Amino acid sequence: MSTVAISARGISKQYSRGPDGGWSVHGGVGALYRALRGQSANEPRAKRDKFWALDDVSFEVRRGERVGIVGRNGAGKSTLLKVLSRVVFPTRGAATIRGRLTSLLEVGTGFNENLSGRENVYLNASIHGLSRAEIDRRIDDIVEFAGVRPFLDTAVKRYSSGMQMRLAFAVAAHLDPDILLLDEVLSVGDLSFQQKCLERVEGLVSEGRTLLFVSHSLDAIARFCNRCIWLDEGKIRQDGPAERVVEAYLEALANVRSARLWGVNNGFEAAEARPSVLALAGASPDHADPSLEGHEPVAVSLDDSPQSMMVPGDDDTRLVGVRLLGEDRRPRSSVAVDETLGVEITFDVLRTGKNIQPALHFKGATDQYLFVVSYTDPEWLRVPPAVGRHITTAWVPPHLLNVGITHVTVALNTPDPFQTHCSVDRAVSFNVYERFGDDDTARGLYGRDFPGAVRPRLRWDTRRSVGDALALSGAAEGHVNR
Amino acid sequence: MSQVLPTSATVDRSGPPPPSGGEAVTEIRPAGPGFGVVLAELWQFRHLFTALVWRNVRIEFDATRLGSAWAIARPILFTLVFVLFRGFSGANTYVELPYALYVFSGLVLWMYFLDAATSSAGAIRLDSALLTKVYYPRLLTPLVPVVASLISIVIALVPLVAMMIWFGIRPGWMIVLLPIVLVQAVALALGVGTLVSAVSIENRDWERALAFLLSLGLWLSPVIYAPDMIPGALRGIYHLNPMVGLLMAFRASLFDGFPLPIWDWVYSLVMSVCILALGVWAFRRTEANLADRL
Repeated sequence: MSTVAISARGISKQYSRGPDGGWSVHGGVGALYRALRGQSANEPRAKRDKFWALDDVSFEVRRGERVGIVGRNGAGKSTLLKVLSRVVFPTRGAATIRGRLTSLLEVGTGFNENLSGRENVYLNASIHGLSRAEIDRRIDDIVEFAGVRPFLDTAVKRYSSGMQMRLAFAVAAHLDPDILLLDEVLSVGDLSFQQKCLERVEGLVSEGRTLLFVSHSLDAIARFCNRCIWLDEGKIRQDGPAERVVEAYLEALANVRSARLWGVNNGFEAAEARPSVLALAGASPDHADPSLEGHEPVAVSLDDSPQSMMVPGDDDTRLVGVRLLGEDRRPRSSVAVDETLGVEITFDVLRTGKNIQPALHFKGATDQYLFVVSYTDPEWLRVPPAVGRHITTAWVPPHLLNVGITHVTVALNTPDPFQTHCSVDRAVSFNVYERFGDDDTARGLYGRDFPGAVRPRLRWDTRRSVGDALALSGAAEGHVNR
Repeated sequence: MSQVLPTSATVDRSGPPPPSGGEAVTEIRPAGPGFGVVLAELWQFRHLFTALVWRNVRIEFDATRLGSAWAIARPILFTLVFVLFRGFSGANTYVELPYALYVFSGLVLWMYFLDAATSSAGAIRLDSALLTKVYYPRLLTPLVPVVASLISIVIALVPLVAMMIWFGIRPGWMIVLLPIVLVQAVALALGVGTLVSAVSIENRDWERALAFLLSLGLWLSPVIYAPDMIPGALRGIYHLNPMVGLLMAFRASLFDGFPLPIWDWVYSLVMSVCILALGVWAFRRTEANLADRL
């Protein structure tokens, strides 16, 4: 048995935009007319705009690998799955698939409203290549899984949409393939249905099946996949460990930046003639401030919009840079749920006299507030800071944030009288992910995602009650009274 | 979680695809599989074929509650109309057999051909949800309705046998030809169906043209009259219609003593095979980018 499950060699797929040709009376007559006049019959077709939905895509998937595919809409993700599931043929290139492949480009393909639940199970399972005998053996499990036994011989059109979905998914969950192709299947249905899908995928994954998974849910990809392919305009842009590719994709997609650097200069007094960040990126080592060591120019977002060139701050203080650090103080752009993350703020105090207090506003992916923290060291707050550069790091403890993107707004305030010197919305952002098989989190052994902005892991205290009900209620009362 | 998930113990792994005992290896190439592979795959996907035929039959006989009654009533009502017309007009249809039996048997086969060819030609649109989501031998799509329509012939056998008993006509030895005739009807309908669906993926004009030709075909084929009614000058052209040989062979296989026009039938057999080959060839040409164009 070969260890390679899927081998794709230079797969390319061309599509045409605009009006389609094909055989038709008009096209046929027109082609005949042009042929008689000595023109090429293909001429009008050539005028149509052709584009490559997939352009020379090559990769190998080993048995048991779990590969996520990310990319913008139209990047070729679905086309790739369609080619691999043989729904469309590639224009060029070839692929070899070893093992039984099931592609779920949708759940419930071929379901017919007029057929009964049982008939639909047989039809849908045969569509995915199961024989009658195989379905006979599985139908009890399928019906159990879907929970529709009393309605098994009722026409599916009498089902609620939720029941239809459950039945369709139950079939999909029992196909038992060697290789599973999933395309956004998890994005349909209600939340509990999506969870059920995720649980089943998790089951398949832990059984060592090969998985190819297109999803816009980067959390799901980070959780299930150990490898990720990023498609961009039909080409593979990045192929590597899931966490790293998802990070890179997020940074490009959501304009997520893990480090920001504004004015960098040696003489912070010369506030007006501050060289921009480009000076640093322009490889002039004598300009680089030693305190910003580790700010590799490549890791820094070079936003060339005029706003970003402006250094945030006023005559009292200015923000110089913000970056994310791991516990080892190395730059990070994402963090696992059980890791500590540092937000390092570098700012210049231009004149003394005012108390400068950095504050961080943590916001979720849809900009909902998670929490605000401000600098709380009493020593710092007692005396106004000296003129010069200051670097402070706020440490976010592990097991606090839920999975997903978190944006950080950085502000420099004076508390009394209150004054905001600067506030940069989404100064940095990072992705919180969960490693597959990581049970030592707040999620415990549950397969489901946990909703909520935060996901703390609490200490649980359990003791076995040996007293009777009276003693228990007495204890509760006593507790309340205290 | 492990309670709701089927473990590998409850799900057996005796799936069909591995043909040679080993694991299934699928090669994906721009051209698509060769014809030999397609034939092998048709066999491999026989379960899907049965499931789809069953689906078509079920839909046909469930959508309208009178499904099976309709299958009997349609040829009977038409037969009644034609018998009355002939009786009122006294027209000579050159039919030697009891006229009602002649017309009914003709209509049964003709209506099968009409239904089968029409639904086969439009099958791609019906199955587009399937064609764009899963792989299966695409030829199944036009093949399934052609086979599923046979049910109407089976149902019509009941009144046909009753009529034969009534008129005292029994089948002779040529009944052995009946399976061949039916396979020929299936092949001809599939040929027309694949041909029309191949050219009408984007343009429905060809489907309308087919519907028009088929409605005309009732009068150009020996359904309600005998071929002898056609004047000698036109007879040569008339017999180019492959339905002539097919309809006469159908009756010859059913009714003892009904003459079998052997050359008409041989010609019609050859034509059926040619049309089928042409249709399958055209269908396979469009098959490669079928899902792209739906």
